[in-house]
Parts: sequence; structure tokens; C-alpha cells
Amino acid sequence: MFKKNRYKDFLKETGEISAFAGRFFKEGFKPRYEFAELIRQCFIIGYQSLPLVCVTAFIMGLVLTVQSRPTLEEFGAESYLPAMVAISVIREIGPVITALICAGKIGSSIGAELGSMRVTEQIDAMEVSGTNPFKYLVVTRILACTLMLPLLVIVGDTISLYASYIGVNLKGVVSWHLYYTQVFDTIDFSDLIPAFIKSYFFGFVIGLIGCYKGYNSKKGTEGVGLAANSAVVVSSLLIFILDLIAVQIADLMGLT
Amino acid sequence: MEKTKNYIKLGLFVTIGTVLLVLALYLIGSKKNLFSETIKVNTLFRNIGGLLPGNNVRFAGINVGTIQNVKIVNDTTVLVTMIIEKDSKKFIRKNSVTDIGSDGLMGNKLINISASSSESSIIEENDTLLSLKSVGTDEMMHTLSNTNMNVYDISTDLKAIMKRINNNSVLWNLLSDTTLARKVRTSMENVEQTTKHASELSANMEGILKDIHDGKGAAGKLIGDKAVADDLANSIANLKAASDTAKLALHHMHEFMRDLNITPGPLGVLARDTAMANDLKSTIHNLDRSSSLLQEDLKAVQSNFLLRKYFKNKIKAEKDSVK
Repeated sequence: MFKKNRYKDFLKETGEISAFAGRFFKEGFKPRYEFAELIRQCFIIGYQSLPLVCVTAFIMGLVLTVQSRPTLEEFGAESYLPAMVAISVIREIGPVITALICAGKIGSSIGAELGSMRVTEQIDAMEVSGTNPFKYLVVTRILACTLMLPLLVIVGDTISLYASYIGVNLKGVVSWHLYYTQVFDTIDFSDLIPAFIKSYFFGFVIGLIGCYKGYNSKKGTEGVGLAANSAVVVSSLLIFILDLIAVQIADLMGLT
Repeated sequence: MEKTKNYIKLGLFVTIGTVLLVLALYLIGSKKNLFSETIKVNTLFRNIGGLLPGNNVRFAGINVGTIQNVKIVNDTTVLVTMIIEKDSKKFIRKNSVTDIGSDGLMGNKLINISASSSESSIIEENDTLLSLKSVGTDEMMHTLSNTNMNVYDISTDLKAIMKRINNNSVLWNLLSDTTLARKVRTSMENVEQTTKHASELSANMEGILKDIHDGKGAAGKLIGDKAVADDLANSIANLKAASDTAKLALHHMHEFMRDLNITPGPLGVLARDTAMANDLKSTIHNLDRSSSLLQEDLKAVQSNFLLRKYFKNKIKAEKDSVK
């Protein structure tokens, strides 16, 4: 009985998230557009996440390079280090790590913010005052996430590659020119474009889940924490699921 | 005021992100010759060995373009369309040849364009370059496998030979025999001396031949002197005449012998009758005996007083005549 309820809850929640996404597209394209709020959200989501993303990307690039070196040294393929790290960062690590960081930072903040607004009935008050809370709160946040995440990913990739250059030069000597030539000799459009496109979806999922969980939170202040928590967990999980789907599509299209 | 500041910060972030994206796209694109002027050139291969669109095209080891398309034309021909930078075009001639290589031992496939030694004009759009059959890894492995088999056979034979050599005491004795070495050395010394003598001999021979050539000595005269040659020719002619005569005589002799055999003359009988031959033999024997007896008798007669005086006178007359 308990199991059956869980399946039912899962399906119910999936349906509700889908309907929520449908409502986003429906409301999002309809005027009036909340530009000021969108830009404010872009600032919060994009600009204010930048330091965290940069630090994470730098560390990831450096660590990946330093850790890959011994294995490549065993094969005498040390010169492939920049190429290997560049492929890993651009294709996978950059988008996924940035998305997970954003899911933690942005997803939880959106969930908690909207959750507390719901609990404190601010959303209901907005409805009463004639402002469309969905348009003002949800559409702007999801759109801001969707637009900002790819930019964060690109900046993060750049930082990672620079960190990798430092990592390569910790135990070897590779000039910046050679490093940059090796990296861009290896990277193809088929590496950058699918990664860039999937980061839009990651952003969309982070915003969607955060907003859904916060917008539909219940049970008072307890619900706020729950909304923030489940927003991070579900969006992180969905990021991996999307990544799985993205790699299969890219493979089918011959882009791997 | 705060709002404007935030807008500026966001604008900066968006601009940086967009610039980075555009830069990355441009850098990748420039490697794939998307933003530079290019020309299309074709080449035909029988087997492209895994060459893909996007692989590099190299001329003199420098990347000058990429593969745009790979298309099967028929069962034995694959058409490869290459995009070549216009800047590099002026170096590539129409008689250049292409072959498929790889970037490192295990790297990506690529097309190498090599210049030919002869003169030709510069390539144009949609030209088709000749291709060389490349040596694929499979082919190399196949040849290597054959070589391995040969090496295996050779090593087996060598092993058998070494085994036989090891088991052969004669050879080891031969190798360990010090006297043999000494003998060989002596032989070599002898050979050296012999060759020395042969050299001297040939020097002498040369001198002799020179003398003969100069007409010195009998041989020289024989060869160089015309009179001697004439005499020799005469002698040979005489010899020939003599041999002819001898031949005639032999012929007559032969006929005589035949007659002797055929005709029943006394000589024929004498020659063939063995009984008569025996008689003749005994007669001669008797005659010999008789003559010795007669000699004895005559000696007795000489010493006879009747005739002694006559013989003494005769001896005396002989001595006188000598004086």
C-alpha cells in the first residue's frame, strides 16, 4: 500500500512538474513581460553565482590535470594532457559541475524564497493585488536560470582551462601558445555546441524545480526547508538524467 | 543607484560570457577553415581507411585544410572532397599527389599532399588530385605476419643446424686441432711462395715472349723470320710428299701381303705352314750344329802339319801388308 502510494506520488509530482513547465511556457510568452524583475534575477542568479562557479571551476581544472598526469605519464602520452583535460572540461565536467553548484546555490535559494513567500501568504497577497505572481516570480526566475547558466558554464570552462594550464606547468613546461594550440586543435564544434545546448536545459531544470518546490510548498516553516532541500535534490538528479539523455542524443547525431 | 550598479555588473558578466562563447566558436571554426577563404579540391581513393569529414589535410606537414566530404562513387572508388585555404593554394600544383596518413602512430587519419618534381600549374577549384595507395595497418600486419613465419622457419632450420654442429665431434676436433691451424698456416705460406714463383715465372715468360716478339732466339726466328717460315713450309711439303710415298708403299705392302695370303706360292706356304716352319727351325738348328762342328774340324785342319805352313805364311803376309 505504502509502495503503491509512493509510485502514485511520484507520478503525481511528475505530472504536476510537467504542468508547471507548461504553465511557464504559456505565461512566459504572454505579455506583459517583467523585464526589470528578469534582469534582477539574472543579476542574482548569474553575477552573484560567478565567484562560486569560478572557484569551483578553477579547482576542478587544476585537480583534473594534476590527477590525470600520472596515468598519462605511464603511457608516455603526457603531451595529450591539455587535449584530454580540454575535452573533459568542455564536454562534461564544466556543464555538470556548474549546474550542480547552481542547483545547490540557486535551486535552494529559489525554493526557500518562494516557499517562505507561499508560507507567509505573500503570493496570495500578490494575486489579490492584481499582480500575476507566476509571471513575476516563476517565469522571471526560470528564464533567468535558463539564460544565465550557459554563460556561467562558458566562464567556468575558461577558468578551468586556465587552471589546467597552470596544472600542466606544475610538473612540466608547456608554453601558453602550445597549450592553447593543443586545446583548440582538439576541440571541435561537436564538443562545444552540445555542451552549450545542454547547459540551457540544466538551467531550465534548476529554475523549474526550485520554483515548483517553493511555489507549491506547504506545512508552514517546515515546508520552506523541505522545499529548499527537495529543490536541490530533485534538480541535481534531473541534471544527471538530462546529461544521460543529452549524451545519447549527441551520440545518435554522431557528435560524440 | 544600486540598481544601476547591478545592471552594469550583470551587463559585464553577460558580455564576458558572450565574448568567451563567440571566441571559442571562432577559434574552433578557424581551425576548421570556416571563416577563411577556401577552395574545394577532390581526390579519389580505393580505400580511405577510416578517413572522416573534418580530418586534417596537410601539405609539407602543415595543416592547410580539412576534409569536407567523403562519398562512395562506385565499388572501387571513394571521392574525398577537401577544403584548402586559399593562402596555401599557390603552393599546391596540379600534379601533386595525395595519400592517407595518420597523426602519430594511433592518431586521427589525415590526407598528406606531396609535391611532384615536375612542373605544373597551380590547382584550381574542383580539381582532382592523383592519389597514392597508402599502406594500411592491416597490410603492414599481414606482411609482418609473413615475415614472422619466415623468421620462424629460418630459426627452426638454424636450430637444427646448430644441434647437428654441436653433436658433430669431427667439427669440434677440427676446430680444437692446433696442428691443423699450423698446417693451414704452412699451406698458406706455401701458397704465398707459389704465387711468388708464379709471379716470377710470369715475369720470365713475359721476357721470353718479348724476345720471341722481337725475333730473338730459335722460337723468335721460327715466328718472326720469313725465310725460316718458308723453309718450314718446304719441310712440311716434303714431309707431306714423304708421307704420301709411305702411304703408297704401305698400300703396295698391303697388296703384297694379301697376295701372299691368297696365292699358293712358296713364300705363302712358308708363312702359313707351321709344320714346315718347325722343319725349317730344326734344319737351322742342325745347320748351326753342323757349322760349329765344321768350325772345329777346320780348326783341326789348320793345326794339321800338311796345311800349317800355308796358314803361317798367310798371317805373315797380312802383318807385312799392315806395315
